[in-house]
Amino acid sequence: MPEKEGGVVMQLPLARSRRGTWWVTPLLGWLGVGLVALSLILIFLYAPTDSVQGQPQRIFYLHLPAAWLAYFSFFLIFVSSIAYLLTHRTGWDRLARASAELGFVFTTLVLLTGSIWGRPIWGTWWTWDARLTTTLILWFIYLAYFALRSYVSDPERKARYAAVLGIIGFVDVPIIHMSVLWWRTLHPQPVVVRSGGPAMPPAMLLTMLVTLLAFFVLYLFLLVEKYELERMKDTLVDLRDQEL
Amino acid sequence: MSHGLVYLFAAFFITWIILGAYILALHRQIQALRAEVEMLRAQRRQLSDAPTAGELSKQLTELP
Amino acid sequence: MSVPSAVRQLAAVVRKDVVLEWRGRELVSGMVLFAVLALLTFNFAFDLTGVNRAVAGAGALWVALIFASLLGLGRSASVERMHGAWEGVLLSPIDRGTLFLAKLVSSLLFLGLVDAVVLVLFAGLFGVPVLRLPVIGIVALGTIGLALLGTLLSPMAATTRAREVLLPVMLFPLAVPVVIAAVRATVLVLTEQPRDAWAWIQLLAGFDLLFLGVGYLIFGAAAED
Repeated sequence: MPEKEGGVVMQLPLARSRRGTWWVTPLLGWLGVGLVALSLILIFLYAPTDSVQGQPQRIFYLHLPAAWLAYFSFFLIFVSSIAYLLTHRTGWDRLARASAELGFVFTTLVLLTGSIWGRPIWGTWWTWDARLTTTLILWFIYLAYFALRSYVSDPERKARYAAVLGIIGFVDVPIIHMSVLWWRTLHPQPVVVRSGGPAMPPAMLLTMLVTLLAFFVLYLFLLVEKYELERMKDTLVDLRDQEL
Repeated sequence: MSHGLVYLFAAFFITWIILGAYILALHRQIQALRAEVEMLRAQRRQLSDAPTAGELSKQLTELP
Repeated sequence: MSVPSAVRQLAAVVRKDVVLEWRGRELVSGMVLFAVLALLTFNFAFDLTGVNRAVAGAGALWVALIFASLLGLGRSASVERMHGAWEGVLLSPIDRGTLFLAKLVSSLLFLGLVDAVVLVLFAGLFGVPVLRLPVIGIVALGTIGLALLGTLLSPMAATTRAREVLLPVMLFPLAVPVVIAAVRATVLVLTEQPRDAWAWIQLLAGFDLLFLGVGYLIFGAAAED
């Protein structure tokens, strides 16, 4: 928060914002780039070709990490929402905002990669596969989250309402998944399907882990950047308010 | 399985295009905001150099 | 906050809502009319009298109920905010969790009326045996689920200028489990497969219990102006 001295000259906090931690973002950025490059090499040159699905199976190395991050983002929204309602500190709302935007991007990626992967494997651009359908609903919940934020003008109310929706949404997602899964399998007991079929050969597993790590580091980089962006926006809004 | 390769490349292409575009958009927003902050700082400096309005309000805020 | 006084406060709020509605009678009649018209439209759109009328009928029934609920939940929240009436409610010493339960009960009273009318009409017009305990139970659980979500979401939507759009946008994705479970359970009961319906009924009941708890805890954040 900007300090207010007794006079007109107020300290802009950005000057001292990341003195001690200026190295975090570049580190994350370059580490991310390196890991992504490594993962690409592994995906295309190291990982074995799936005997059943052929080359398109490699899309899975994008699809799975994107899915994990899409749901992880919503988990972050959930945690920040609770924290915001308990503490009313804007920082938590900022984290929610950042995770929401990132989560939406990755959810979109899950749907796109899933669709493109499905076309050569199943023959259609879309199947009402349980996990894909749940992800589609998640996509709409993200949209609802943005809609709510954009239609509420008062900033305190915006943050509070978004927190409510974030909590309701996250609590609902497992139930959505259960209902969709049962709906698709037509059995009362949920059928647990291991992603990727039977146990992955070690080379595939390694590739997947590296790619997962690469995406996660990239995600953290984007999260920190987005958080900083939101913090700058908030500060500017505060400053402009004080000027008036 | 050569037709499968098209889908493979399409998926990777789209993914990295989207992520790249997002990173670029973020970057540009950050630059724009930094510029605005610099502008505000410069204005502040000017205001603090000119003693009239600044001094007055300073005196006002220091009243008990 | 003792339980008896909480119940008294709850009753007071519910009584207020019922009296208000009784004076105007717009809400319930509007919902009923809407649901009936929806059913009529479905009759022309789908074959609700054929051999498969159980399946098509269950879907039509629930779509009609969902849209009617949407209408009711949205309107009651926005009407209450006119003339600052809601601020008055918030200023009273009623605990926010109790207020949530009160609003829930009020909504359920109105939605229950609509459900009853729709079920009777459905049985009469399409000859589908919906006036049996299992179906009524499923309708009750599903309506509770919709009312739970609506009671939490409509106060938020009501403060915005896009409230008619925002409430459905928020409600539909979140209500998916209710829709799937209610329709599947209804179909299974109507096609004489009650054992399979039991799992869906349990899902509905679980959903209701869960959001009863969640709603009780966070209604305050959604309802405060």
